[in-house]
Amino acid sequence: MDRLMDRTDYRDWLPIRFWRDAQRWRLDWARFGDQPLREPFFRDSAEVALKRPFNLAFRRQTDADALLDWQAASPGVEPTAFIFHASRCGSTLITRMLSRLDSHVVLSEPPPFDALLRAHYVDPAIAARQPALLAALLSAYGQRRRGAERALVVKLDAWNLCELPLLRARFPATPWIFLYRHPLEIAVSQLRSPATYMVPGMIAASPLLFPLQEGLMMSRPELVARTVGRILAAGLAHCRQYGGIAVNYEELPDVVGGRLAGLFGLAEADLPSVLDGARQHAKNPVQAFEPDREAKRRAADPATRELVERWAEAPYAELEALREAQKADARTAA
Amino acid sequence: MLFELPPFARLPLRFDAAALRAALDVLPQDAWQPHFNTGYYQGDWSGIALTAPADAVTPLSPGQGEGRPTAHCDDFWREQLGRLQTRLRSARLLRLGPGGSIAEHRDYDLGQPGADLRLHVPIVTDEAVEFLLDGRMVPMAAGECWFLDLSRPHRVDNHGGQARIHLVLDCSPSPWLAGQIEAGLADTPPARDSRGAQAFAEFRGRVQADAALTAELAAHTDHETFAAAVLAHATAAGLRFSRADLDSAMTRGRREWIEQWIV
Repeated sequence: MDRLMDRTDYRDWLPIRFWRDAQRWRLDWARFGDQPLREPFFRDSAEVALKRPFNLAFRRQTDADALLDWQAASPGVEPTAFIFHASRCGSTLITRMLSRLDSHVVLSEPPPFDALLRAHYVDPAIAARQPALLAALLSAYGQRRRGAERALVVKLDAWNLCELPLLRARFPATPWIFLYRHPLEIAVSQLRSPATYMVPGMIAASPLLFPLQEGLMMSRPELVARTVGRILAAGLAHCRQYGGIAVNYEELPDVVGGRLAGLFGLAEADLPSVLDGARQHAKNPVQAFEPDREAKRRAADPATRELVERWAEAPYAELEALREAQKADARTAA
Repeated sequence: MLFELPPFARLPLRFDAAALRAALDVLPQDAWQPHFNTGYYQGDWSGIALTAPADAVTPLSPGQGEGRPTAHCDDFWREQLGRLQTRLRSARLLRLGPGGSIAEHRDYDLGQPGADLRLHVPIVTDEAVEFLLDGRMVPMAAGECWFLDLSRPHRVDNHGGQARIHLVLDCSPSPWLAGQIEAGLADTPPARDSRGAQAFAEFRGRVQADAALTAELAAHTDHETFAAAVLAHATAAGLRFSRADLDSAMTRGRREWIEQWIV
């Protein structure tokens, strides 16, 4: 029994990579000890963990099924909420605000979670095991490493909207939000400094994105406008079908302590600390956070405006209508 | 080349190890010269050039010029070298004395497109000599002829009681050589864990099973104090591996992480 416990004990360890070698899906685990996940993205926290010489010499690799054993031996905190987003909309600001709390484990786009969510595109045989593995992976992240953890909030990658039904199949009752903003502002940001998924071919196997050849045929503004349009349309459809809460960037940061406080498991006493986190720029802590709506819109050239209007304006308008209806419903319920 | 080079391959070509050894014995002792690369080894690492590039600074140094036989290249050695049906830029006898070691390094010049390919013919060697390529031991035996991609990390430890002597050949790429490498791949024995790597793997297992030891080692932020603590614990547990074994395990740990982004 002792030997069995040894094999399944991953206390203080977190998965940092999920990938397939020649035959099997594998996991790479690094020891985080009581290191909190306070960096803007999970991959930054993994890099911090890998600075420890221990994690270079004694990191562990296991089969994906080790997750199931570990979940059975030590179930973690259940997920509290999922954050889906259209990117460049303040989602990192939200995770930065929540990660100030010792009570909250906040996962910001953990690469192993994305890899597992999309694993069936490269290996259809894993589909049957995916829901159980997804829950077990979140259980591993939701361990009480520091003692006070009671909430687990997961921010996904923008392109993971396609995999939302898969996630809902295992977590049908977990609340989730879709965060978006005016598509012209997203487009300007993406044209200035493109995310990896806006570069054709950089993110393998995602039905949300244009295939490599199709993407390469378009001008950059067209690719950006059409991709943003697809993301907004997918977010809208999923909000309607799976009860997602529509949240506009313009509501930040107050919405976190307002209509989303309960959804994120926040108590009254948590709010001052959380809102204090909004004073800093999410990805660059030296800068203060300031809404930059007007500056972004002014920066758009007429061609980009026209493309965005053509490909992304309609789902945006519908999302806004849905959001107003949801807020009205909430007022009625209150 | 006609195909992608493997990390290593044992060629079909074989040499008469006893005859090579007899030819070594008649070479004068003072012909052995210390290797020029003094920063990378401990103990006796020396050599005799049989063929050297025309522009080499010393007989053992590399060069780009045509290979020319030296005074030590008698009829016997000419006949042996003549069995290689490709142009030789250099042919050296390299000796690593008992207890000697060559630190891990990469010969980047060998990895360039169109660069020479290096072959090793072990003449005097045994199980106590560990030639590690990519951290794994290449099982070279006397009289065999091996291609090794030494632009990859490699190191040599002679744990035994006799000098290890290899004939080392730098050859121009050619269809004949490519054919030899390809033909040899099918029955090339696999690389295996070195003694140090086995001891390190066992120690790793003990660390994973021991929460207190894990916590102690994981607390280190400084590489030097971490390495000292690991080696002290390993010695106390009776497990013999070196700082070089630990360093190469850590280098591999870093490389495996980084390589996920290299497509």
